Amino acid sequence: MLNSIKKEHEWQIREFLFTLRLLSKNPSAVAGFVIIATMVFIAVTAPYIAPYDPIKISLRERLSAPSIVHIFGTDEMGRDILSRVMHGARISLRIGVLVIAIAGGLGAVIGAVAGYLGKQADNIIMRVMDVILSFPPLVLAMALAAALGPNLNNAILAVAFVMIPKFARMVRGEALAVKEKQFIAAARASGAGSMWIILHHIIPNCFSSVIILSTLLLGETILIAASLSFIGLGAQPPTPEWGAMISVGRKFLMDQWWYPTFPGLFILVTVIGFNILGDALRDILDPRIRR
Amino acid sequence: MRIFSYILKRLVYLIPVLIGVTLLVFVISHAIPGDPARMMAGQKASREAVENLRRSLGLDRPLPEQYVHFLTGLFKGDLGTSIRNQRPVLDDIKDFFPATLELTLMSMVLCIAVGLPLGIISAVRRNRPVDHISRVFSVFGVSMPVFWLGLMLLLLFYRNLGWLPGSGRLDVAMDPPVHVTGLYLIDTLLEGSWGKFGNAFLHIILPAFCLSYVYLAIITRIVRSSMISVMGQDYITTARANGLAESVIILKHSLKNSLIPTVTITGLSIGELLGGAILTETIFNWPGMGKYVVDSVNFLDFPAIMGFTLVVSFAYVMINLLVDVLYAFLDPQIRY
Amino acid sequence: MAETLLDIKELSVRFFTYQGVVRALEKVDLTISKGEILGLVGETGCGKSVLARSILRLIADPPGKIWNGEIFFKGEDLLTTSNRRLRHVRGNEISMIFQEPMSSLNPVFRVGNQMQEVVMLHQRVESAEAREICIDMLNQVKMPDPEGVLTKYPHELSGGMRQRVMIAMELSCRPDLLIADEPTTALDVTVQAQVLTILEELTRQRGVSVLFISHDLGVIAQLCDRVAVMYAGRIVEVAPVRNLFSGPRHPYTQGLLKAIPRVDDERDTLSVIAGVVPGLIRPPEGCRFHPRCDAVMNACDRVVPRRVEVGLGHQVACHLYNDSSEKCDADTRH
Repeated sequence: MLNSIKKEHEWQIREFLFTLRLLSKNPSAVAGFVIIATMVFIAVTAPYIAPYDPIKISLRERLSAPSIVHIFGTDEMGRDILSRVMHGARISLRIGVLVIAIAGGLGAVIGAVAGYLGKQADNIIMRVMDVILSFPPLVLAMALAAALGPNLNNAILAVAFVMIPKFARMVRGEALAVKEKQFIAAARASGAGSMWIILHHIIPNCFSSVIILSTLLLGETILIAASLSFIGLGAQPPTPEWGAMISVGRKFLMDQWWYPTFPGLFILVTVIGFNILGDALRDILDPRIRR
Repeated sequence: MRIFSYILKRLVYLIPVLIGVTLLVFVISHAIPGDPARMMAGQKASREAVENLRRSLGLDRPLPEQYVHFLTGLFKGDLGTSIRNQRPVLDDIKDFFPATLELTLMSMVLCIAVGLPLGIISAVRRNRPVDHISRVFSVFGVSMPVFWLGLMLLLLFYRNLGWLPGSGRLDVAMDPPVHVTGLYLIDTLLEGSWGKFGNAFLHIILPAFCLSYVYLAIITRIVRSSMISVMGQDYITTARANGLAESVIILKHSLKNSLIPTVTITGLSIGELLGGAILTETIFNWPGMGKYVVDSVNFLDFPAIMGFTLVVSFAYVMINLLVDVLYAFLDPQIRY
Repeated sequence: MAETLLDIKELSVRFFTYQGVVRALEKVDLTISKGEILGLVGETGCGKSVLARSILRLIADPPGKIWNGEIFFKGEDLLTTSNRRLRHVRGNEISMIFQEPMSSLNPVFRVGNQMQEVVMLHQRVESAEAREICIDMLNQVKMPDPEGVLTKYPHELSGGMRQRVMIAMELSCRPDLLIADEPTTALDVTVQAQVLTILEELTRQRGVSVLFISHDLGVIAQLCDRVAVMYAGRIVEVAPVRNLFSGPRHPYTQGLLKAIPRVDDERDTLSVIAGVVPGLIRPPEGCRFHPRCDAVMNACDRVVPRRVEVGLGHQVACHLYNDSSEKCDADTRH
């Protein structure tokens, strides 16, 4: 049995390298990757390369237009917007990764269990997922965040909750297909328990779909999180989260256009990056195109 | 006819979902917060007021009993009382609903009027310039932070060009038309006030475009991909081999087949529009349900938020049912 | 010698794909006479369908392109006529039936709607008269309850019935030529026989020429007057049906016929043609069959064999039968 697992992993590694090669030839995949890599770089190095301290107040320079000194201008407290936007990347990416990790992890397990167990269990679990999906995502996230209390961690939980059914549904579909395959029967015949099979066989087989879904949903996650902060339910000022900055900057739109413009631009570009990478991934992993 | 049993089946499936929705809202409003009574009374209420509310709303009873109480209240139309103005939330929502409806409908019209032709053209002129532009447009659409788009639109059309107004449904100086439907565009026409109609129209353009932007991109994409997939089918080759004109092949034979996934997505988008309206209405000061709930959030008006959530999700579920029924009408393979 | 209806001259079709240029058809010559049933036989991928679709210019462009050649029909070259004229020919003077009855009809329109549409388009009649014509045609293909069938959606009919509807639809405008691209391959054997009988009857009755494409030699033997054999995008042999089956000349044809197992055969292994069908992106030079040919000679991998007469109406493209001492001439280009 160990041998078959080893062979599985070898095959998966080969597939992975093949995917990487295909990706490098696809222009939108490369573009998306470059964007995301840039954002990750900014996020990781912000504390070191940001020109100013994002929360340092300097009322003399408040609301100054973009200049050589402050490339993106300053806000109403005189804080440098460029530095704040760079730190905002840290926050947004952190939110994205946490949400997807939680939603993906929980969702995958739920979906795998539902798909593998089938019948009643599947029915009940999927009905619950359907209920969650019956809410427009932002509305549900908003309600949850309001109930939990307006802060960033609660917003993360709220958005994760909304994303769980999307993973669950997809993994369930894959689980249904995989569970009919031979090596599952072989595993069961050698006495493997359901949970072990789910964790070691079913979930690894859904790996590529989970990756694609994660990439696509990362974009949506960042949007919903920023929206929550914009409404006032996520990151609270003075946290330099992009949505929160736009929420405050809105008041200054007419005369200090730079204030809400730059954070929003960063949201747009980041989400575009995830979306085109996700699309390219999905196209490449489509079995009809792979050869 | 099988179509009735199909609809019946969908309805039956609907009921547990609706119950589930009420259950989830109940859990969020009653079980999750640390002190539901405090949430419903407001942060500024006195301890005595909170205790009174706790008793009167039965928040000290066991949860299952609370849920029954909650459900019976729903049947009676009781969605709780707003902290801000002490009115029943249902009344507030009824007041603000028409504005949101008007905005949503206008956005839908825009989505279909632009998305459908753009999608068809992209599919027919695949990989030519038009197609590439619309695909870029699609990516932007799906990635766009709606609230930021609204601000940029305001910056361009209101501040810099001065072509369009920046907030509200009508100029501040004007009185609203006589209330017939609540939709200003219709009511002004019914009243014969052309000037007001024009004004209302100018006011709705930017918010409608902003709201529809995301879904326009999605719909264009769906129409494009389903048209491409349909046009590769054998029956299209048959039609062509029979000498039918290209326009007939596209507009009659292909389109009807592509409509099936398109209608599904469009229908679902209506539900999402209700969610997106939250952001758009805030930016443009559009006095609808979305702005209402955002104001409620700022005020921490918990009952209002929950009431809104319930209403919107119910509407979403109902719309999905309608879409399913429409789907049955379009696809004969389900009917017969 | 009967009158020539369709004359395909040096037809070449190429497909431009990511992997390279697929030379699907290479200088194909073929004629069909009035009233004859011509069979076109070959393995999957040899280009039969591409040839069939080229006649009505149904090749998807991109990625395909009709690279060269002429197709003469009633005095004009179909490959260069106007779109208007082409649409008049399609479904009206030349009709086509496809392989998959399951997907050849539009699932969201009723059968009657689809049939009447074609009739009304080409015969300029009103809906009521078109309906009568359709009912009459459905009767001719021995369809039970024609009026009922008109009101049905395609998915409510069986595969055999759908194919009969297709035959009715395609013959309704009285074409001169019917192209049948593997019309019975996707059907059950019993239904196959029915459909073939109807097809033969109707076309003989009306004097319709048929280009019958199949990979099933048995069906070809039964139905056709003449047969053309295709291999890897080229026509390798053409002969009246009896002559082809009793005296095949091309090594490929011989191999094909030998590969059909016979009940009275003493051997206990199946005879196969060694090797595999070549890819058409970089096809073999010279005669495309030469890598698999038992009778291969020196010239075979350099010079493309020309088609020569070896009997009455019997032509072969093989160096065994033409003067292969000719060195490199224009034909080494391919």
